[in-house]
Amino acid sequence: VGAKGLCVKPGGAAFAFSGSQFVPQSEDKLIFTPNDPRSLMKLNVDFRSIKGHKFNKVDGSKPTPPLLNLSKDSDKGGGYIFEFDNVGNRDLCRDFVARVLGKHQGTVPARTNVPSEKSAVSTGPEQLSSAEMERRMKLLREDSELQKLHKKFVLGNILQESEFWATRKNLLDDETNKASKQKPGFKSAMLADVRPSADGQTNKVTFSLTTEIIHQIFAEKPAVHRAFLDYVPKKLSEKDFWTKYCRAEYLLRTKNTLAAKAEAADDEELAMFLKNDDILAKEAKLKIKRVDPTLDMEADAGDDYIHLPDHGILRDGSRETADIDSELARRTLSQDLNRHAAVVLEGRSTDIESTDTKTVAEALARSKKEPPPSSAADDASHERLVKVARMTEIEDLQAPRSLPYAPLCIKDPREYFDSQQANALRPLGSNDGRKARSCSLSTDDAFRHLMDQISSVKMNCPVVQSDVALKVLNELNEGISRSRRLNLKNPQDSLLGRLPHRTRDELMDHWTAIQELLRHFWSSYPITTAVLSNKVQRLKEAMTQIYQKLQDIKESAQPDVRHEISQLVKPMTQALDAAFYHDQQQKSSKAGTGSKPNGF
Amino acid sequence: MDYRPSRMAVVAKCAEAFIREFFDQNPLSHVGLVTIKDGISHRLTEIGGSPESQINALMGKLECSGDSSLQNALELVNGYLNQIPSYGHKEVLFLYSALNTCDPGDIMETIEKCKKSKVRCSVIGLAAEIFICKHLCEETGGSYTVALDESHFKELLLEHAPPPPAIAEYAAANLIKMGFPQRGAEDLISICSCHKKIKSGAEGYICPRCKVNVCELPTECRTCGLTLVSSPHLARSYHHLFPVAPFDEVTFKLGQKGGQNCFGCQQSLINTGGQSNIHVRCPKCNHHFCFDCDIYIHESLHNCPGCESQRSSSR
Repeated sequence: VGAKGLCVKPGGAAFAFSGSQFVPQSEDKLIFTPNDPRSLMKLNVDFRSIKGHKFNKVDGSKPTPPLLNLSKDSDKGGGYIFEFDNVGNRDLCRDFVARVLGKHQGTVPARTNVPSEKSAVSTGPEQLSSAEMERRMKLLREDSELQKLHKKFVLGNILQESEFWATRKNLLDDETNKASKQKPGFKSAMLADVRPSADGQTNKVTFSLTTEIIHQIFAEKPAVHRAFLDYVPKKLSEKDFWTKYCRAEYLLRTKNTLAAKAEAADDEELAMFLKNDDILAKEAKLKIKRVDPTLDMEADAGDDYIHLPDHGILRDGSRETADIDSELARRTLSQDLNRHAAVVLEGRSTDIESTDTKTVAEALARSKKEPPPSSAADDASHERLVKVARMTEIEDLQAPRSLPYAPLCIKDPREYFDSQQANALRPLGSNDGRKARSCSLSTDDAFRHLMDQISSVKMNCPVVQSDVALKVLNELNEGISRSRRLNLKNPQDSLLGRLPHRTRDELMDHWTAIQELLRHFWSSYPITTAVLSNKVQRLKEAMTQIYQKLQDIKESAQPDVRHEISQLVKPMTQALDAAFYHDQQQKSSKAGTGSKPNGF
Repeated sequence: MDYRPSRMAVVAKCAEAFIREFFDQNPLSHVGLVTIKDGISHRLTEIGGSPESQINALMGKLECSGDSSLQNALELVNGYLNQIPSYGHKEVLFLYSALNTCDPGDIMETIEKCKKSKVRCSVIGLAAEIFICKHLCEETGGSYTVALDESHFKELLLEHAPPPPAIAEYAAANLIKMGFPQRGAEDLISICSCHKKIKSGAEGYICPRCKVNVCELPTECRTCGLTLVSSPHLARSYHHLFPVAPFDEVTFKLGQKGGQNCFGCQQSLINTGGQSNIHVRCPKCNHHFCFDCDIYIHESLHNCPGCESQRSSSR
């Protein structure tokens, strides 16, 4: 695979190879040889020394080339950065590297006989679709940290596969997947129709039709659709079909009736385009039958196919004769608009994937529903009528429709404080803390009593010696200013400066594992089912193990770094302690002994 | 008068100001951004509680092209808002500059769906009034306004920052568990749970339940899922429920005892030179304030200093 490589050695020197071969030699080694036979540089890398891999996302806008970064042990630093010619090659190499790394670190991500079947208690094998499986494997391949976690927990039988992925739903949920479920609508710009571009010099006009436009034509003009299915490719070629269609449209638009009649007489197919759409006419007739006869049937130019007999009453009687004579269609913009709106409201059923018009036409034909039997049609039409009636209200004449607001209702805060008082008094032994304690002291008595108690405290000498107090204050001040100075200088290094990187990374790995465990732990409370209690059991065992490991690390540390290690380990043990404590509390409260302050 | 340099630039700039103002007034809320391009809507940012991530996305390169589809946008947003817990209020604000909507199906059905999932939709138009936007806002209980120019647009946008009154059917009252974390000790080391960085304990907050460090508030603890806030955040949301009563305008009467200095800033309220002596007075505690303090009290402070400084026994 052709690649360019940059090898970054610890000292910071970079060696560049160009036009070289990136050859995964075997599962263990990687050999990188330059194409130039004169160069002596060769790179022989053992995969065991590679600890992680990273890659950059490539998109067309930025000119960065696809890179693959293999990082070695971070203690010594260094690693290799390979620059590839194209993304496909880089992805191949990346997948290979991921697989090898996984093998070396113990996972086999390529084959996923779902480990949930191996675990001790399974809620039944998970039914995963292959797409889901693909996505998970892809995520594991891309992120080596995730892979490590996966191997540790899922294959170590601590967590089940489903639980592991449950918290990572947002990674799995492909955003493009969601967005691609949306379909763009039909543009009404089509109503202006496909405008021809006229070349000023010759007499030709050019129409350009895309698949989208063709789809729209088929949806809005069912007669054309039927003609396409009938004639192509038997009688006409596709190009001829569209040429005739465009010619018909051109003639219609120029309203050149004489030329249209002449051409219609010659050419049978052209005549068909120039006629009225009879499928639509049939549908309009059906529609009329279902209309509520109490509606005003006075039709106007906005309705389609007004020339049909017994379809509405024309206001202007004089046009009747002329229309029935000619066979050619006279379509107005409002008729087209209504037809377009009807098509849009029906919804877009098919997706355009292919560019072949024949398949598009067939797909559309398949998706067209047969007119339903009359009873079902009645229900559907009744629903539609209700909707139409609601939408045709004249909004200016309606009262403003604003939804009522929720009134503010705040309970008396004394209720809360009283119940808290009851809670506080209960452990003091009174049977029913709710009984108000009757106090019979007056203000004077209480004040005198308090004064007596205060004066009985011997205040001969001050509580704290003044010079001791000064010393303590000074030391505290110094400590705070020292740590603040260190923070400002260089946070990362100075905090744990002397800690070697390897130990720090090891501890951070432990921390990632702890975080994952804790997340699952806290999400399982309150424990309601046996599955959850089982899970908590497993998690607790794992947590105890890690706790032990941390203690061991702390004890076995060298004296000069011990303080820093213990500092780093402290927050981890604190978090684990909190979890254990919570678990204990839950158990004891379930046993019924302790009281729960504040309802926790 | 159209928007300069381009509508997209103006909208992005005003949206940034809106997001800052919104998080100022509602620190416990979350915001996400969605764009509509070529008839399909895309999610720009996830719904989150930190203004920085939203503003970074707005500052990036934003392109617009093609038709706009109200239905697709509503469907996408509905999908995301369905994951919000029931005590949260769901709202969509459209900044709409197109004059039509090019939809794949019946948009009325989508509007019904939004109504059912209790999403309140509002629209701010940049061009002209469109019937479908008006219908959408009326059905879902939102507000529809059309901007005349850039400053008017900004004004309309910022009006959406304070929370609207809750609609009775949409509001569900619930008890929510919240944690009030404290800062860690200065000399301790802690590991941040969001970035996995080691830092000093004083730089973050410790979750009171699981003792893990978080960087900023308000947020949800990544480990135990507890909502973590600080009391000023809660107080800021509380103020919308109990606004300060509007002050009455009064003039200075001769022989009046007191009321010569503003109770807030101690400046003299008596103007020499025959100017009108109008100032304001709180109807509850009867203290006098100047106009500047009035604006400050009602817009930023949300508490009347006179009422607060009275002894609680008198309340």
